[in-house]
Amino acid sequence: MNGSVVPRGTRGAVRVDAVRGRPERPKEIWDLKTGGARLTPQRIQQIRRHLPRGCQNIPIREVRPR
Amino acid sequence: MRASSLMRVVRKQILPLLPNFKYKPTTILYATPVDMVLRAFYFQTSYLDKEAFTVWVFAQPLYVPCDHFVLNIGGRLGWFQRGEEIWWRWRPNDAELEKQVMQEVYWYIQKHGLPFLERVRTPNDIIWWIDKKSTNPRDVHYQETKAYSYVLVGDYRRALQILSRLYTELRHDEPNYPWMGEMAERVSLIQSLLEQSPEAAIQQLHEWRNWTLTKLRLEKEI
Repeated sequence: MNGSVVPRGTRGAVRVDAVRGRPERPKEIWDLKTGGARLTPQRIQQIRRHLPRGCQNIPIREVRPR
Repeated sequence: MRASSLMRVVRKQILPLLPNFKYKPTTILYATPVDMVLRAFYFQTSYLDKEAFTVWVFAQPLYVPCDHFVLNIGGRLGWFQRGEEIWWRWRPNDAELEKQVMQEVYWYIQKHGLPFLERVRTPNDIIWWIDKKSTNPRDVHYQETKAYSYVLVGDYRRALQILSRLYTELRHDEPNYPWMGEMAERVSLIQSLLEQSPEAAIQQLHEWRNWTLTKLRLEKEI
């Protein structure tokens, strides 16, 4: 949240499904989507706004169950 | 697993082994007395696996005003053990598993958690940790923390150097990160107080400590 690591459930924080790298220095993010749900540009922007500074341009990908 | 079920067991099996620690519902055990730095363990349940949990150890400088817990200074206990990622698995009503898991968690707390907390008791310790142990000491959160820590240890020259540089950086990046505007306001306030009177800046940091404790619902520690 706002570039910091916070406990799960903190109000206003974003929760992503999977991260490569440490939470304070993520290298890649996956958001799990099922059915018709899509990873939208708005969701990507929301996640990026909360990433630590310097990690803003890491890939954020959608992942789907097989 | 519900966090409250896990914490019932943690309070029964681990808390009595940690003198001077208190329970803060729902997921925190913290060290007392609380001075300028909150030192604590956070028990995090997984939302992907309902039987899994991990444990963080962290220090939160209370003089950086914040209305929630922040885990930036610290890490998961497993990380201290050769960088391992450890998620323990536990389910209610399995006494044997419960005993085994809690013993293992306590081993990690003793081996890595408590020694870490011993090293981050004061603003001076926090400066040391940011410089020597953080993965990204140039991060603005760390820079803000370091600047205020320097005020508290009486090194006003270093504090002002960081505050001035940080303020420019924050205003520059504010369009991409709206929260940096609030941080810039705080930085500017401490900078101007420090230029007028260090005592006033220190007083402000003490007020922020109490504000943070209140927001974390730890007002009894003020």
